[in-house]
Amino acid sequence: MADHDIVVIGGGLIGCATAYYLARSGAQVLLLERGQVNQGASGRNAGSLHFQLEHRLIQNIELDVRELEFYVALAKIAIDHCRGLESELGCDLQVGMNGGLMVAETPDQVSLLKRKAEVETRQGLDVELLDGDAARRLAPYLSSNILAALHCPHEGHSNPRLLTPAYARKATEQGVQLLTGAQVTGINRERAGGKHWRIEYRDQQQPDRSQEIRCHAVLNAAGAWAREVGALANLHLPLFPVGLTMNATEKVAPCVPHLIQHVGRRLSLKQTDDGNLLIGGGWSARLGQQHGHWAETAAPEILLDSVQGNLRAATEVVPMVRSLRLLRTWTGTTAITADHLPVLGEVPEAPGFFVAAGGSGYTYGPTYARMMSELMLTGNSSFSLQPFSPARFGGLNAFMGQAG
Amino acid sequence: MAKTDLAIIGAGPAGMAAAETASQCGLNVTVVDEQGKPGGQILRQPPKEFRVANWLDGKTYRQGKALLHRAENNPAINWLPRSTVSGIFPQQETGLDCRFRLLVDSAGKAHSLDAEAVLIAPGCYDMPVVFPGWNLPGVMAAGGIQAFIKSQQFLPGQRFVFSGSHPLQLVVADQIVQAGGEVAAVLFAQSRFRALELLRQPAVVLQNFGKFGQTAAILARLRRAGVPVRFQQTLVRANGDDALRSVTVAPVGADGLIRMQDSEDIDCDRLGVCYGFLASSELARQCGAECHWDSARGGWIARHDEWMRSSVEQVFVAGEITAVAGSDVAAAEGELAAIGCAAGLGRISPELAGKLAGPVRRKLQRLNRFARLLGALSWPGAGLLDQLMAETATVCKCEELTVGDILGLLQANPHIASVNSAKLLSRTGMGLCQGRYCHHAQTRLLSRQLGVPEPAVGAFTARFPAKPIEIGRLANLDA
Amino acid sequence: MSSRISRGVERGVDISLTVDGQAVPACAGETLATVLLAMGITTFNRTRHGAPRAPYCNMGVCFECQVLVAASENDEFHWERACMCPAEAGMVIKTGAQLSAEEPGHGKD
Repeated sequence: MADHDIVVIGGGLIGCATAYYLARSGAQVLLLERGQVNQGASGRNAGSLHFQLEHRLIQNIELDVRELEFYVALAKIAIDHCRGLESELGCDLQVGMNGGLMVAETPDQVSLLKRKAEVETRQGLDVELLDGDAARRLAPYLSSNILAALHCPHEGHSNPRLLTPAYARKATEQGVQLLTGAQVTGINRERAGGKHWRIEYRDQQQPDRSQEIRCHAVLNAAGAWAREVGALANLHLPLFPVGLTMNATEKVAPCVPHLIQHVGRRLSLKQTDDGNLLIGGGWSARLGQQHGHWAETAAPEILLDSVQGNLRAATEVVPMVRSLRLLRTWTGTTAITADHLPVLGEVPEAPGFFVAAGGSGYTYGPTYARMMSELMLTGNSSFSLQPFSPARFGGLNAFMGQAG
Repeated sequence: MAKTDLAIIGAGPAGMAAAETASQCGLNVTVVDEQGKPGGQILRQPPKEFRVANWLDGKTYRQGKALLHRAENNPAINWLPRSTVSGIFPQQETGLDCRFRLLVDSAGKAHSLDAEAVLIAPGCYDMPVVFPGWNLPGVMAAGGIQAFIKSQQFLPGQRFVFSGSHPLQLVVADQIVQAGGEVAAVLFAQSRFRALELLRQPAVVLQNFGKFGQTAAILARLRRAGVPVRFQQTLVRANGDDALRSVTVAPVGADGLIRMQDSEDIDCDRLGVCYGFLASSELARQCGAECHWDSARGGWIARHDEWMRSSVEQVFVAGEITAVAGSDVAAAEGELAAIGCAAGLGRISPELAGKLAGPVRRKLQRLNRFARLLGALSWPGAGLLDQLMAETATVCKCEELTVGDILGLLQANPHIASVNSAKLLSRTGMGLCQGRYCHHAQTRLLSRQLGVPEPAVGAFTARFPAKPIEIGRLANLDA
Repeated sequence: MSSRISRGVERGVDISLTVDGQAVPACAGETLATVLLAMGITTFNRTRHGAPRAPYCNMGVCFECQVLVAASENDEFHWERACMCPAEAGMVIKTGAQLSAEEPGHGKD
């Protein structure tokens, strides 16, 4: 007998949301979180809802064009999902989808913007290329440096402080057992044709005693730590931690209703409902190291050059930022893959072991979660996650997996 | 880009003593301070445009003023007044030849200061106490009122009331009376007898005889001026629409419970709150120096070894951030840190360092005995502060969140077990003061809710920048 | 009402600045906090929910005393902590009563 149908590892957005969708469909779910709910990238990102292809995805646009098309198709589903989130979860998540502008400052950047628009339009994503003046008519706060902008009317932001806790509350309501301070220390398939997974974990409250439970399926939703959780199951998961930098200004009266991104520079900028401008866009922070390994539990160190580079980009695109005060800079660790796409699906070498991590996990998190719950419960999802399957890593796990 | 051997943050007694000693040991020293002149809060100087006869004339300030005079006239010390250290960045991995880069925000301009070692000595600030009306104009930290008198030669009110548990309020009340102001009452939450406990320690009394004499003289002057000094009474509410009109006070029973049914209102236009101090440990925490919790001695305070070294290599700590203990302790710690730093950088031999440190350590031991006792006697107790935290009282003044708001969130999200998680969900600590004013109350509320000791809920992560900084200045810094 | 201490104190030279559209005398060396309190101003700024705020710590920590300051008529306004900002001749200051909800720092609800 299994103790639970499914064990979800990780109390971030994807973990909490998938646990909720699974439980809503009747599954018995246990969620194990090593630290606190929403403590990782889910609560530390800057809350962008970006549906255009991001800066990082289009650096090799010609090489990756097929994969990117899949991604754009998923965006259309995520847009509808985001619009309905507040009513779905029954609370204010400060969702504002007033449109986003991805700006260009040089002729080369304008060409890249055009090429990107072709890919997106072909998949039916609603984008419109504006010249500099048109962009400034829509967003008068933009600098005169801006030559063009790609406008997507659905983009915007929601509040990362609120989204994951809302899912956690809903999950608990649906009967999910949510344990924080519970570190998973072992993941093993039962031997001799057994159908169960044995999950071993330690509860902070009783650090000397490890506990074991049995379940039918496991979801690894450990974000930047998904690789380590994979290793516990004797699997290679090529997800890599990166440290990123975010900045918040003081509160100001509403002045930037859109999500601003840049096609050639690392920049994202938006105003929260609280009034603060959040400035990020992929500036690195230094991951800590310990004995030759990433010390991933500590927040990455702030690099002064990153902070300045990020803020300089912000002031050059939105000049009024110059006179605002920076309240805080923080860092977070997120997971990336070699192709910058998410890893979603069952690991072929370990039936019953699922992964959901990487790939713009804030914007798409609720959608990934819903698809994953469908996949885990029925073997299929309403939108095919095949392009994002861990199977795409080929022979990486040929010699790994679980004795069955 | 400026470069220095030792960057000292804070020009109070700890920073000044450290600067003096370090420069004597041959170190190039730069002192960064937010005020226009050195001295710290204890010796908050009048502006250079003022001439003040008999400034801080009392015996209490004699030693400090002598140190201030020497330090100010020491040509070997570089001063960076009106400057805030926004962040301390370790540089060992970026190829620069200096260990640290400090980002300094001076009025109108940000610049960097490279240093081989850093001494963090930023002092403390008055502990914010959460009670209904504490944000009303007219309510102030007692230390803030005192700074108006010391530095600005200004009485910020007509009729003052002080309420708290720390003897500083007697000093401020005395200074107001001497400047011609009216003090309606000074209220101590403790019993009169608790104050007498000090006297049961003959050794402490003998060694600190001067301090007792000064306190007795203040009490006598206040009595002559007709200022009531009452024990076992506390503020419970500040009243007024747009400005303070009166304060409601109530007796504190022998059981520590506030007797609301016996409350009364005292008219005043300025209320000084004086329940103790919190260490300014933000920069220390920001650069990774280990801290530990001590309710009665400043909240999160920095750990250090016998040379005032923090847990981060070449980062020293001195003064109130190691435990709130007053200016004499701070100065001695600053001296010790400077000796340790000079030895660490190889400017003096370990033998000489040991010889120099010996008498300082003995002095510190003596001073600390008194400071510890005073700290314990001045601490109102978490129980009293809890009773003041009514549901309607503001916890986070920047985000305007009340005790009730926070408790509601904690009840709705039972998985929250750290102040950082509570901050993320509620926004406490996300405003301009960056959590300095809600940290203590938020810690208390959460630990009480979970039934765990305060340190178990952790500290707010102290983020860069240490104080808000204008983005244009930061973005265009030429490093 | 607050008052300047005069016994044994020689203050800086007389200067004039503009507070909420009114010419105000002050002495060089005084902070804006002193100048405003001496004028009888009790509300230095208002929170986004309209609550009045004024100096609390008087040492640059609490940010309760911030006001909008321009160096002169033609300069941009910046938020400054009144307790940390020395008054200078010709400064223009806006305080709580004059701040509309559209000023920086006073976002919508």
